Amino acid sequence: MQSDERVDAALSALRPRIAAFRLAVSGAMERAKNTLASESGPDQARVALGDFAARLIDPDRFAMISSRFGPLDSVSLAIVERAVKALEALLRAGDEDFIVDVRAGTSAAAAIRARMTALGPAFAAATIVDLVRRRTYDPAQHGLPLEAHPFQKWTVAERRLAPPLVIRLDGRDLDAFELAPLIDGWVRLVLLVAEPCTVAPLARLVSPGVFVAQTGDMKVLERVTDFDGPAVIAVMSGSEARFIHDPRAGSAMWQRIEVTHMPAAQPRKSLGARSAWQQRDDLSHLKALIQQPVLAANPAEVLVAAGSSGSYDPAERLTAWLLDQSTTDGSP
Amino acid sequence: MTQCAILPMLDDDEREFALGDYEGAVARWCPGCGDHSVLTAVEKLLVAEQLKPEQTVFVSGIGCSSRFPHYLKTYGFHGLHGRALPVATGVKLHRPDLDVFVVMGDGDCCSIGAAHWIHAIRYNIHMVAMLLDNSIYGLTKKQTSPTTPQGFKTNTQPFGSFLPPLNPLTTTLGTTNVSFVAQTAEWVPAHLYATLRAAYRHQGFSFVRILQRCPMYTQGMYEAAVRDPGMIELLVHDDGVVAPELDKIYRNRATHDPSDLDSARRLAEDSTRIRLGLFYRNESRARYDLLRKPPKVTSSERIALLNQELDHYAV
Amino acid sequence: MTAVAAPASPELRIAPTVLNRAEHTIEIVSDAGEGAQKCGQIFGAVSAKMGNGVWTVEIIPAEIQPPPRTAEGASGNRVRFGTGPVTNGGDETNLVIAFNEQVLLGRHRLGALASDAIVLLENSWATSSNPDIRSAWDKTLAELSTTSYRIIEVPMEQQCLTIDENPRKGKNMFALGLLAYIYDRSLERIDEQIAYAFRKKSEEVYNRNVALMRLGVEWAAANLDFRIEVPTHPPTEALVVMNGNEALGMGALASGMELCAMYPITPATSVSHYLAEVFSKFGGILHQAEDEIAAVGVAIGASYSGKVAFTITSGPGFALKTEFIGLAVITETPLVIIDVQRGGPSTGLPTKVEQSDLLAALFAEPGDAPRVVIAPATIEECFHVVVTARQIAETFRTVVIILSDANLSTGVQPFPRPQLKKEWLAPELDLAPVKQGQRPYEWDARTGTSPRSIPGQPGGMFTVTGLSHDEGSKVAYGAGVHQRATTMRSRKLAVLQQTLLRPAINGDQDGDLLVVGWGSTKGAIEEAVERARAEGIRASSVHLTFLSPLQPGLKEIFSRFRKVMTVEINYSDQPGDPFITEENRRRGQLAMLLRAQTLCDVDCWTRVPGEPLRPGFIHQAIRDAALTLTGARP
Ligand SMILES: Cc1ncc(C[n+]2csc(CCOP(=O)(O)OP(=O)(O)O)c2C)c(N)n1
Ligand code: SF4
Ligand SMILES: [Mg+2]
Repeated sequence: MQSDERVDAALSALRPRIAAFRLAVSGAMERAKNTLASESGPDQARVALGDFAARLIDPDRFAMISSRFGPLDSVSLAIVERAVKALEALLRAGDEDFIVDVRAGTSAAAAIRARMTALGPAFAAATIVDLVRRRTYDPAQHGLPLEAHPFQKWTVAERRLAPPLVIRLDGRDLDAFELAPLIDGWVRLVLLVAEPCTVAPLARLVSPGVFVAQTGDMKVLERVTDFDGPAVIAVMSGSEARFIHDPRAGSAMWQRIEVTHMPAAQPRKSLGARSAWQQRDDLSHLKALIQQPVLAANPAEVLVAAGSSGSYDPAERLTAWLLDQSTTDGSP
Repeated sequence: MTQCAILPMLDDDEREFALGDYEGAVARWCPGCGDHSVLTAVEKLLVAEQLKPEQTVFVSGIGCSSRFPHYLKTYGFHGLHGRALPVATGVKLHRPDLDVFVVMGDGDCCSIGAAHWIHAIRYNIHMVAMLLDNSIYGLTKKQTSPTTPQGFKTNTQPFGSFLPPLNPLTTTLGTTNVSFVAQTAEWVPAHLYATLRAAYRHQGFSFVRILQRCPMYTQGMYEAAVRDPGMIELLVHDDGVVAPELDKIYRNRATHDPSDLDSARRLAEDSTRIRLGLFYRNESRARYDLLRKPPKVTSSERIALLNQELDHYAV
Repeated sequence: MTAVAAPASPELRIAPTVLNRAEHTIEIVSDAGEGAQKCGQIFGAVSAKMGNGVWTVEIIPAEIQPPPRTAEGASGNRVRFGTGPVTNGGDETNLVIAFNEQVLLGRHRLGALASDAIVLLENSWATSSNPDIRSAWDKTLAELSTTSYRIIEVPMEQQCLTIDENPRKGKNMFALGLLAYIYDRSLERIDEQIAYAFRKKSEEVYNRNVALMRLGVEWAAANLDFRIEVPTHPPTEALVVMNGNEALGMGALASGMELCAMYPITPATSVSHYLAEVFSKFGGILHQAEDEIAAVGVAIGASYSGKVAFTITSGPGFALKTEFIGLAVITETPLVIIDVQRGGPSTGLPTKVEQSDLLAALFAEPGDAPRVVIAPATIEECFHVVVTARQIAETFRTVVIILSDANLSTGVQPFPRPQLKKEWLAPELDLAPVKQGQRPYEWDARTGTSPRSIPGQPGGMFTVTGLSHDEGSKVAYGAGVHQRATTMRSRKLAVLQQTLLRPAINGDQDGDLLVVGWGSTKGAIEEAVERARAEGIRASSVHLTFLSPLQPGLKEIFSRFRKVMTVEINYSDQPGDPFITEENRRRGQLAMLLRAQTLCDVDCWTRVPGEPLRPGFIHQAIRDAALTLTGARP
């Protein structure tokens, strides 16, 4: 397993997202509590009007104006109370709730899903509270799960508030295809990978809207703080490929990918469920992604230069192409 | 700033919006009024960008043009003559999550609201500001506006407007922290649309002057330009307003890099041809809305903080 | 005048005489920039902390840097403190520390000092190298010698020079030391307070100030033959002490509002100075707009899109905001406006108190624009009023105007520490879809209110407009539509009025004279009424907090008194004036309102002295009014 320093660094980089999730949960809880409190009518009005109103305003009469809805029925009251409990439990969640340890040889995606399912009731609870407040809650129709709320059922808005997760796993268990369905909204998956690992396990996840990185540098995590979209970052320490795909970096794929390291040797051995050929194909995929249009250059080199500035000098492109023509080895 | 709590989106939010989803009341401008074309272009933009109607706010002042929000089915604020920009500023400061568009007339923006205009440029808050410039006060029936051509007869200056018109482009380009200035004409729909799209995508305060025909009071003012594309010069650049469909019709073109402020200012000066295009864009200008983004604070934190404040004053 | 020569050496001194007083009023006056205000503030805060009732007022010259050593340039602080609660600035000053004889003369000519006032006067001027100064000193002291003040010359500069080469900066702390000795204030608490006052300065500054203060104590102990004891009662509950503008700012924080847009204007500005420091910690934005129109526009834009926002201003700025206030009323956009009133019209008396904005607050816009107007009467109320105002604004989708004034804004008073409640805070935005078919103004005919939807709420899209509109916010000019919409907006006030309680009567429930006041004059009026009652005059008072709508029961309360008279700090024609008749007399603003609203013959006694009304003057007005009553009696 990884050293805890990496976990701490990852958590601290994800702090703003964790805070956003917590804030959302506490906001929902406050509204739930307000819903319960407002049931007391004049008392609620008296408190909410403030001390200034004490000798000036009759809270009973004021409450008649300020409460738009009639009293809650017992079923609704009970469900809001349950929602409050669920939210309270989630609010108590410590950092460990944002860390997933994947047991060696088991599915990482399944572990992540399970954690999301456990944190998901925050959303269900918020929805319930709002339905109740509007007096439109119908137990038959809105039997929303307060114990478990799987990711498949999260709405777009909920996916944008997804809790970030730090996942400790064995390189062998990293399967991009399994993770793909979980990439949406503002999901943040930080994979702390224990060696050995395949060379380009995340290459397959690169798509126009997803921030994907294989890196040894924790600082990369900070780049996704404000990124408006999902992000998957594998933190690794072996000789795997190192790259960052940042959707903000350009309009064409090759402009968005920055490759800082390509493994010298082609994989020859299978690892976990991935055969050697599959691993080679991952790598080919990555190389294909950074191929420039029209003038194919040695991708790794040129892109490191062009990717950072985003500007793109035709002369530079031509030189790169000429250089590429003179070398014949290594190209896939 | 207000935080977005968990949004209980009950009906699913993967909606797709068609033109009809943005259509409000039936527009009541005069037939042939240029405002109709602007509305059409804006609706097209809303569909193309799939803006959520409930997340979109159109703020306007008072004037014919300021009726705009009523004709859309987004949120709208039809406020006071000259005061659209402060309202839009308030909306955007409090709710940065909303997309804000501002619609103003030339009297609205350049006369009674001129102070707000200058300062809005400097604040550079992310929003699209459209000046629907018909060079006249339309709603109040043909009075001289700041952009009325010199000598043009109006009801308040019946022997011809006394002064040369104010140039909204140079004014805008001369203001500190300007970040996006474009000019387009409502009778060139492709250009209008492309300009609005560029404005919408700009991160900052996008000022778009839209030359607008008012057949009621300034009939003929742009007739020649409408009939003769030769009177128009398009500013072209890969980073500018790109509307290839205009290539064949508008042959006068000037290549202008919108990052070049000096050149933008020169081009914005009055000339014999009407210049349409993106004069200036700079996304690295200071943005007041970003500088003023406060942290999100829960109610318990607020209470705790206020108690700390009270401690300073405790006896 | 009895100038006292300081005893030659401390050892020879006899123990000082201790004068016992239930209350005392002190002043520290100097040229602007000499820090007298800081001295007064610290003294006031420490007295409050030790358990005196305290009311501090600033003495502010009209100009920022008036010429030094002028009678008009007096700048400083006035602190009235007593064993019991102190609710206003009181009458005359009992003890003055003056940094030069000219500012003293200024205060003397204004009649600010009691006839037996003790004066501690910096005497370095007497030996100035400048002959003009020496002769001014001589002339002034000659003028003052006709009074019965007890003037004690203090070598402040000479003393301060032993610690600080720039005595102009250090005298205020030396003066603080004099006061600390005279009134036996806790030096530890003073140290604490100095540390807080100079929290943004270096350690060295703190040390120097403390040293200067202690020097003052030592000098006083060695040279003064008196001390004054104003017994303290250590407070039994937790107290806070602040000025009215700080209280307004904190009240805004307590109300959970998140945006304040303003344009600087005295005496409102210091609210924004306070908020500028802390608001962003609370998730708030203090926006300094390009002008007052923009300020209120920004606040309305923010309110329209979410939590109720507010703007703060004073008279001239309020005038500029009126068009937007009308817009907020017709669009039913909740909004809180704080007007810290000053003397008017126009630029008027920028730093001085007046209560002249009442009718403007009620009626400034063309068209019918009903809105709520509330006036806090104490510093404590300045804090709490904001919470209530926001709540009313939101509940009724209406504009709430808070009328404070320059007296409250700079007055400093201790009050019970607010017990903060989460319920006071504006709730988080609710962006849930709007109920199907709900219209933008679904007026409930029983209350005039309607649910508000904000951008972000699916299904609630509509365009608010300042044009006459129907329930659907559809522009409609029809007679019926406008009548109904106007009725609904008015109904909100009627319904709010029905939730209000009758005002309490201070004094007997019936009698000869009822004094009616509003806003910051409460303490002075009640003190005056008490004094009059002690003389056997059958006077009572009522203080109105809600000015729009008015609290219920006024007509009935008025009917129990032979005469009803408002006391206000605004202009009214004086009945004795040869130009003035019963018919052409212009009356005080509250009096006008009450006459219209109750059809009672409400008289008024109003003054615009550019300073808070002194209880003594009100007392005299009550006596005069009572006299006309008994005179009218056969
Ligand atoms: C404070 C104020 N002053 C004047 C008016 C009258 N008024 C309404 S619209 C308008 C001018 C309209 O001209 P413009 O802004 O160019 O808009 P257009 O009608 O041409 O689109 C004026 C003067 C007003 N509504 N409010
Ligand atoms: S008056 Fe002019 S601007 Fe107004 S609607 Fe008619 S054509 Fe359009
Ligand atoms: Mg116009």
